[in-house]
Amino acid sequence: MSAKKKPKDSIFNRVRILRTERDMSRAQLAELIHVNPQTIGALERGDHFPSLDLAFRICEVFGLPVEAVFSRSEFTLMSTELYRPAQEKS
Amino acid sequence: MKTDKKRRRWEYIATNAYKFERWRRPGPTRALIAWYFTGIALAIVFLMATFAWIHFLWFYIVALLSSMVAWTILRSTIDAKDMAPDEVLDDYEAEVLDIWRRRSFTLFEAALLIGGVLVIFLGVIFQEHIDVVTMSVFAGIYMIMLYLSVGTLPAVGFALTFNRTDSDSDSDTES
Repeated sequence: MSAKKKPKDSIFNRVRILRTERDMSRAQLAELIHVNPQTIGALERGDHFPSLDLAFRICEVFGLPVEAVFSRSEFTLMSTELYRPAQEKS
Repeated sequence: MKTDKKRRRWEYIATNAYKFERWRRPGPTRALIAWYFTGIALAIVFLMATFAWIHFLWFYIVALLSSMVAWTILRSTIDAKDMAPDEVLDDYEAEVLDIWRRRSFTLFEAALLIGGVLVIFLGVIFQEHIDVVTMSVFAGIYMIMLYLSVGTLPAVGFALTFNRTDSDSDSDTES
């Protein structure tokens, strides 16, 4: 039973995808940023939105800017975003 | 100074308590919670029964001690995080505790108000049939049992949220 937060404006994230790309478990990511593994789970499910400090720490692990990991609008599929420029070039 | 003392106290408990690793899963956690509240409920029943027969007091002691064992194990599984200083908790842990503390406070407010009104009402209506000692004991038992039931909710909520296996699956409803 998770204590769900009712958001005013949702914050979407790509933490799960980025973690999977790097073959990283929740426990490994949690250890790197010094949080409980369940906190990572809550972030990925949208049950919890990170503080600025936590968001920066996550971005540092992935080596990406904040806007590449977190967004106010839902992310489109990364594969679609990667494939579209290639189609447009050809 | 106060934060330092609180941190040292928490560190001592978290470091020296037995970890109960196998209990840090949803199933055993729910069993511990059920064990604890069942013990408290039985303790209340037996305590009320002592007004009829004093030897129910022994059953009360057994029920209460039993629930305290469950409580001790439960708090050990969460490393006593319900009493940890703020700097030790991460964002989500602090948020979960905050939510459950607010729920606990709301329940306390309602129960204490109802209990207070009830004691006054019963004392006035039955003043010739109930002596002061009995009423005082009843009020004291009510408050202590309320504390044991409602005051423990933050730790219970924390355990329910965080005592899960480290699963990378989307569904976090492991049993």
